[in-house]
Amino acid sequence: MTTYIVGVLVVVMIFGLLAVSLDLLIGYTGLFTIVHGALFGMGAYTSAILAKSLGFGFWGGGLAALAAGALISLLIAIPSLRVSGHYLVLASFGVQEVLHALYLNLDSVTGGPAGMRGIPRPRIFGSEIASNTAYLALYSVLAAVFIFFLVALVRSPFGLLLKAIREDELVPQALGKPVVALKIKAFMVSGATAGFAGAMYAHYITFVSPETFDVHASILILSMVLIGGMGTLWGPFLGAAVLTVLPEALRFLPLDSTTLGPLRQVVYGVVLVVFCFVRPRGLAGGRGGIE
Amino acid sequence: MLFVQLLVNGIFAGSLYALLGLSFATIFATTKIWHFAHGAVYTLGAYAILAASLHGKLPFALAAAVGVAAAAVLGVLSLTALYRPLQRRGASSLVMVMASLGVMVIADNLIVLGFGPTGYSIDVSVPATLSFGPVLLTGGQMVAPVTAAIVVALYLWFLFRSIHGRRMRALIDNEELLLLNGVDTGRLKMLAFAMGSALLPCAAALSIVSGSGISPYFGIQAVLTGAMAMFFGGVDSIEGAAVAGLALGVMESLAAYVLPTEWQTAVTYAAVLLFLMVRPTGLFGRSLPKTTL
Repeated sequence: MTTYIVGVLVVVMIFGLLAVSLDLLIGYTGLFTIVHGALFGMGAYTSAILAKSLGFGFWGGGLAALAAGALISLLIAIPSLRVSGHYLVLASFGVQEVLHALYLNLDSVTGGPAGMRGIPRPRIFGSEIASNTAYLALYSVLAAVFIFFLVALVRSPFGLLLKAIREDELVPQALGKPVVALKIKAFMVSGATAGFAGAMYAHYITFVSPETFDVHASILILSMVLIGGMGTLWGPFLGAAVLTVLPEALRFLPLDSTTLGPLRQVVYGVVLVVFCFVRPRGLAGGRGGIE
Repeated sequence: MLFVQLLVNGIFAGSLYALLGLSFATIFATTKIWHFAHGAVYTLGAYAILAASLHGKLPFALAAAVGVAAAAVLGVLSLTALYRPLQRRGASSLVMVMASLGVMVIADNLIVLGFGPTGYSIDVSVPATLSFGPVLLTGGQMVAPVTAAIVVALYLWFLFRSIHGRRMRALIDNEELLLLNGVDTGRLKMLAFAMGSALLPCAAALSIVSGSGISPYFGIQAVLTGAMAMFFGGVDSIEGAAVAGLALGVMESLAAYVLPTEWQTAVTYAAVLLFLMVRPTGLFGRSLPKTTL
């Protein structure tokens, strides 16, 4: 039972990091994207493939996942952000579907629908991380490092500019700030973080398969951000915790797994819609929310 | 010969995409709402056809009509029971998108709980497959483009010739001018949601006729295809989405001529996005959407 609870907390760390990274984009910069599930998958597959074919460990794979997440974000952002937010929604949505289809269909690289098994566990100071408790210790430190970096980033002049873009793009533009470049940088930081979270996931579960990274994963991460409170960073982390722990409670109902999965999704959906109506600024709901 | 076969397949897929594009464009161009719940309307409309045909024992054409009616009602409901109340509460467009996604997730999964996760197919009698040398033309591939062309023609007649259609197109550019002229734009938007949604079961029905089944999660893909077609055609040109949808289907199919099939969609989307980078107004558009998300 303790192992199970600790295991849930490890998942909270991973999804918390994902939600926080998406909040930089949605909450701080005001950019809506629907690709975080695929970016998460990009990181997971990158580190998994490197581990399986080139013998990379967690740290090397993690760095590569970071770079892969940033690269994909750049590829989405460059064509779309030069135009407007509507085009970013389209491009991100398109990339989400395309990447998921590639995870599913490029059998020779990704293992296809069966996924990839036997991804090595992380090693630190020569010893392997094996127990859930050790994972929790390592991953909470890693999540904390990333989140402190993001907190510092949003408090820096860079972060203030992002908020200015969110409120009214014309003002920073009139001050001669490179608005498009700033948006692209924000997207790359967000994507890189999501990629790293993917590596954390792959080396924890030791198995990756395409359905983890479909559009519903993107929607789930978006829900975490909204329910936690956009533009607060810690709120989305809380949102991730709520949406990870709450459906776990369903597990104790006497239902078979074919009912449980959809039921869990219905619960996410209902919680999301209710929050949109009742508390659109989320649990944290500070002044930083979007009007 | 492979080329001709791929072209035939592409025209078939494109005729479905044209309907999806028209449908998404009707709603997005007039209201600028990212209506993801459109995917749920598509799925629910398809399952309404299924229920009417298999359980109601209705002939397929009648079952399709039931689907059209159900989808129109659901479309109007998503405006009146979801977006309008949110707007009244001062929700941002971001929150509206999230709510829309939430509704889609709920609807899709309720369908899984009700009908099971696997797909269904319905046997509809279609003309026998014709073969021209090595090129095969299935019954569905004959019926779908013809039916789609008729539906698109009727719809364009509505858009360009009827007063409501003309007002709907006017809504794309200038809502204030319509309001000044005493047009109830609220009701006009309801009409846009009804018409846009009513086109969905037509696409679903043609997809069923051609033998591809329906499954609970296939709505989201329809939204993406519709949105791609709309942006490709130009956001301020509803009719452009039909042409762009057809082009999208043909491009996707022909991509298989030079590339492995798993890259088909990736290459098509990449081509459209690169095109939009050079020409953001799309094939037939004149201006960019004024509001942004």
